[in-house]
Amino acid sequence: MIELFAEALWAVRLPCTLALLVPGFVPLVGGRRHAPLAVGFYILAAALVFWLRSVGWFIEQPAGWVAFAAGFAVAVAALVMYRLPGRPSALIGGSLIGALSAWLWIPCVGTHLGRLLNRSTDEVWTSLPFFGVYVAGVCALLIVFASLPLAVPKLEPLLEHDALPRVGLGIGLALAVIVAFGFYEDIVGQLLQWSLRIQ
Amino acid sequence: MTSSRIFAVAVLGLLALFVAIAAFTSLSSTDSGVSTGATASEEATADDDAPEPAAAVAPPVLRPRPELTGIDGWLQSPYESLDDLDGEVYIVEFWTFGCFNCRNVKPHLRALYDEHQADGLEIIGVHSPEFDFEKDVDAIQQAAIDQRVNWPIALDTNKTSFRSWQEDRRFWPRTYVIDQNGDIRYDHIGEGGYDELGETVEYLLENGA
Repeated sequence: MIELFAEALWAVRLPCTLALLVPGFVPLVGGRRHAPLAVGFYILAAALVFWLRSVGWFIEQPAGWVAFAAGFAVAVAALVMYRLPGRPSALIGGSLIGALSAWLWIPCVGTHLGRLLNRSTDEVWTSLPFFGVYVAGVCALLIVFASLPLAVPKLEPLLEHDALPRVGLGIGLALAVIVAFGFYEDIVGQLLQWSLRIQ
Repeated sequence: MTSSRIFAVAVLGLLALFVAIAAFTSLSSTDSGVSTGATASEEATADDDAPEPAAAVAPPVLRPRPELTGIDGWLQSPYESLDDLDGEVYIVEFWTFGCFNCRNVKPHLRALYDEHQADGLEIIGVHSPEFDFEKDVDAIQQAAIDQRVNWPIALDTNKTSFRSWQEDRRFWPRTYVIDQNGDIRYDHIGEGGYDELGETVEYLLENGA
């Protein structure tokens, strides 16, 4: 489990994790005081969908009207988090965006994740927590950003900053448009191409 | 201290503990599991130094191999279909050149190919691009040179074979071993499983299907 977590942490430097990491900033910023709850449910939902994909569900990625509906759902989640801040919207927004992100995400399959994926069809239920560990490792930055302002009193005013809700809404709506109109794969592909040139 | 602050501190503490243990485990372990090009090469070299004995137990027959469909070309290949390899032992690897983990698998495949090509082993790399820039044939050829892929490459530009071979779940890289009867005897997602891959190939080459 620890090695799987280490592999997930290490994978954060690769562009393939961006598709899971970047959408997590919507619940992180949009959740405001409830950011840890929003990020927690983002991770739980993402892990659940990733696990379902590993056992044969959601293998076709959203395209066409499904992608449009998914983008619309992200826009609604971002608007709800903006207009009705609180625990319920943090929970619903985090879960919805987490589930969608995991559906769109194609992970980098290293040694330990490979081992998990290869045995997940034989050990369906016992493999579930390991997917949670992997997704938590990839999203470790989000956990830090969500918890730090609450843990350190000096950083707490950040959670009350006026710009925060608008930034969360902006990121959410941008993500919604990108998903709905099929630009998501193009953007991730461009990031990968740049990263290959740097290497 | 409020309950939310206690919770946040606890979460951060737990995360820090996990990170510390993960870092310690990775640094102290020779088989780190943290995949880099360097470690993959080193593992391949280690495999060369200590050849594994062929598996005593026959690897299970998983299913008959599907056809390669939707292939729009072959690179560095004398073959035009998998039917040309009937009666042979071969590896089919689904890869795309931008995939980091696919690159890490290459040194291991190359070591196996170098060791057993003379015994009849063949490798077919099925290039199934994830993104548009990976569909460019010149870029694939350049990547084959850069990644030292010296085995035949089938171009699966529209991912038709990628989907038909991986009906259950779809990931890159995915490696199969096909026996002399055209049955799949090894199926592995991602990096790793190199010992089992080598043992399967050696068993089939030595004992037949």
